[in-house]
Amino acid sequence: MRFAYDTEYRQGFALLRHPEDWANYGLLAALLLAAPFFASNYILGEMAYVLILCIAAMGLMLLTGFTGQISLGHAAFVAIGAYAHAWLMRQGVPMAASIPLAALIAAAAGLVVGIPAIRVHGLYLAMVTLAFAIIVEQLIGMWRGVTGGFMGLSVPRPEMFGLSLASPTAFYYFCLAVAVVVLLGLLNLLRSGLGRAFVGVRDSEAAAAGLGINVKRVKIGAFGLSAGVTGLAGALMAHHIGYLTPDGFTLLLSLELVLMVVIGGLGSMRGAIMGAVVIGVLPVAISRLKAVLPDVVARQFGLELFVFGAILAFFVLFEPRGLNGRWLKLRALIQSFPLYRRDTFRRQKAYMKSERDK
Amino acid sequence: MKLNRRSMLASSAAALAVGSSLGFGTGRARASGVHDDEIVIGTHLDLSGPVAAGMPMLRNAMQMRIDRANEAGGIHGRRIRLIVEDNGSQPQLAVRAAQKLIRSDEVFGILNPFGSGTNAATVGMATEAGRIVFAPWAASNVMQQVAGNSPYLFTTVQNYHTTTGRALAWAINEWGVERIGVIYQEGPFGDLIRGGVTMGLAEAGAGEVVAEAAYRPGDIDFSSQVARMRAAGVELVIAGTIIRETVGVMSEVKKLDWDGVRVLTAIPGRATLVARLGGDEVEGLYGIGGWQLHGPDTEDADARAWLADFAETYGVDADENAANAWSYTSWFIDALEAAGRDLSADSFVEAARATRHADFTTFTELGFEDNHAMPELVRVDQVQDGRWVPLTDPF
Repeated sequence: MRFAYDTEYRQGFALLRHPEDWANYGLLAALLLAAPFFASNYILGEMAYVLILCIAAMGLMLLTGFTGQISLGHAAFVAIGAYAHAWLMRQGVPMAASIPLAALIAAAAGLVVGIPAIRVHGLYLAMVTLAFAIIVEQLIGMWRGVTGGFMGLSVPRPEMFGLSLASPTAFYYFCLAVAVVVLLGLLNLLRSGLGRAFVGVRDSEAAAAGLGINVKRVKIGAFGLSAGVTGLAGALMAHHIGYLTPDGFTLLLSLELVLMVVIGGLGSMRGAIMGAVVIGVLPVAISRLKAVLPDVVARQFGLELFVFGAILAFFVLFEPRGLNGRWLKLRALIQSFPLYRRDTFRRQKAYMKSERDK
Repeated sequence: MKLNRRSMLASSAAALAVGSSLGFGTGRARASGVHDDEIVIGTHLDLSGPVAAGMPMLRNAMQMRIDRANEAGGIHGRRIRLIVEDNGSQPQLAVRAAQKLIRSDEVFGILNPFGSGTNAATVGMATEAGRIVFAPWAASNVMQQVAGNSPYLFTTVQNYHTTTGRALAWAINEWGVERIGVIYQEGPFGDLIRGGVTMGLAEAGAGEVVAEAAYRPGDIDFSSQVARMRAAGVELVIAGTIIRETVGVMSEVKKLDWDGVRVLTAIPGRATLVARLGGDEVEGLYGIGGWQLHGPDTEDADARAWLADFAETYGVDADENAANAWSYTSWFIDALEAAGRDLSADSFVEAARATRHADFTTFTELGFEDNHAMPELVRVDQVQDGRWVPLTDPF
């Protein structure tokens, strides 16, 4: 058992509060940094892609998990980031400038979509974002001069300050660096006043307004910020794909992003990362699983869909709080063994729910 | 030596540079995927996406052809092993599948990969890594362009624009039609069809496009498109449609009792399934054929034997996609044979360019010109009594 014994108010905000946290996350960081020395090029490519997914999922988590806004159209921001970045690079803008610019362009689009978010809630907001994603997909197809239309657009090779990032190792390190910067930035933001305003708007708009939070601004801001982070992931994804066509950014990608934040556990950045890792690795895991399954089963078509669906159903039924919830329970079990009480994690009433339960 | 962070980084970067250049060198010298007793081939198909239901035909036909080659003793003593990956019709997944095939499985080549966006994202990567890409199921001219006309890419799918153009020119001259209407799908397929119509008009030196109407993938109602054609007084509708859309256009034409119009569908619409699904509604539909169709009542002995073999092996009747996948795989295996025991990507390219290919799916003997299967013959067919009946010889 562990008790909070803070002697200063700000200690409660520390990202890593305990010595074990420092040790565990330090170990994780060391493993990730050392990965190129023991992992193959193939594994590095996969890890880079999962890191890109992590960034996109963190973007959506900020909006859905922390501000309570549903979006079924985040693939549009990935697309805007990807195309903006590819177009800028083709115009000769260096990558170091083009990536932040692409994120800004996506953020601007997010602000525009955020405007209806002031007026519509829940299901209706989901429909607005869905419509936006469809419009963007169409625009990409039609706007040949910029996007290459349906025929597509090749992405210049990644190169920064004269160094090529095209090799799997370099690209992996680059994605890792961006992911870490985004994660730290978002975590810092979330423990600031603005972050608490996000959570306040999520839990009760009326209460938030009563506390002097400008709900409209917070909502639009969350949309813009979330779109910007997702657009950043899009810029990296452009290099992963190498040749952009509109069918890379369909509803399927939006739904995958939603799955990541739901399976990971709403309301936690750790959840976004866990969800992205699971959803990202799943296709590979299924493909590897096929090798050991009997031939009759392995050759069955639709196995991918079945496993995907089974995992989803499992989470919705047995762990609505997602991977992060399961992890917290597991950690509590280990820390408090043998005094673990199941009721610790009993669901609270909605009005009692707040960010403090992590 | 003092170890600080900068020197660590510098030395690791140097080690990586050396390592990758070594890897690159050895990769070229020893053909990847070619072992003493085995050739490893990969493919990526849509196993979990929107067209997953059609993929068993491709996979089974490829596997069956490879099994037959292996049963016959393999290729110069090497057995072929096929690795199938999922691309879910998403470029992102396709890139991962291709990276796995190239970097982890170290395949010799990628055979019959499926999808336009998926192939656009992967052909360049595969050919740059020195791997053969054979018969991608996507628009051939786009693939060649994306891969920068790499010698390692061989395309076998007929170009939709040139074939549509040639058939349209024939139709204008043969039927004396002047007023052409085009129904096309928004997307790369529609762009190619419209390009082909322009080529056909230029070739015929007659006729003009008086109406154009687009539809979105997934549309099932074509009343507005067909009404627009009719209002413009169109004599010949070029339907750039696939299976369900072709039936949709035809049923609308029949519903309006619009006689005196001819509907000519491009290569994808001229499918057995259209004739079977459409029933009475598609009677009289014209179609541009790029290959021979064989039903259970075919007169071609080779085709009949193959259909029986397929049905016996997999318990289902083969469709034309299976037949094409079989045909392309046969061609690939012939090229492997021709390349000899000393197999590398370059020896394969040289051998493949010299091969000729003909079987029960092709109209004539094909060869590679600029790495694309030529000649691209077409034939105009018509649906009569629920079957596609040839109206012309291949031209």
